[in-house]
Amino acid sequence: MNPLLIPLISQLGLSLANAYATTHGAQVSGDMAMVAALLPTINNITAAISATNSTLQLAHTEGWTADDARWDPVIAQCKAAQSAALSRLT
Amino acid sequence: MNRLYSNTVAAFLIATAMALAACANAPQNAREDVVVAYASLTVATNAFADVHDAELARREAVKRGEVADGNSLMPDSTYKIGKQAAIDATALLDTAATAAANKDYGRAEVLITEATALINKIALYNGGKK
Repeated sequence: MNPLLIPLISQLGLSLANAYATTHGAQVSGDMAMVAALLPTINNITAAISATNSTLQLAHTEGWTADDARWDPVIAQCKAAQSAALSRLT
Repeated sequence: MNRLYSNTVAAFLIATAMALAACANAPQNAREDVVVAYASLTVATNAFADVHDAELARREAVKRGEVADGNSLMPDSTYKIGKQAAIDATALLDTAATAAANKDYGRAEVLITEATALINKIALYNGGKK
């Protein structure tokens, strides 16, 4: 396993854990409106991990090398998703 | 509340299991690392925006007198720093993607590592009431 994958995947888990901690903190304080507002965060993170995992599994199954052109549309999609996320930070 | 809490915990456990399953995928290459890094950054950026949105909603609710003013989920100073980190990490990954496409894999990996440090910073800011 490429050691680079470990901190990156851990980071996905960290974001998830942080979202969970934030939501749980709101639950403890009884702020259910806050919980409702933040629950989609957890669902979005779950979906993102699932989508990334599916892509990686496909790439491994089909044996995509670093110079494989099939990475191009995947990376273009990643750039678009990140651009959309950045646009939320006004 | 118990059911909501259970659902939250279930979602957390499922996603953690999926993340662990992703770890089993090997070997890696620079293009793949770019994809994983983008996914990580986008997750962190969206979570950051979600927490910020929730903070703005909280402040509005306080103004309307609907809830008592408690702990801030995200101070403005944190938002400013986190937003800049997201912008910088995006630029690093965009450059890494170009380097990887040009088969400059070593440079791509260095840039990804630099971006990862910023992503981790954003993720910590997402902690709120950790």
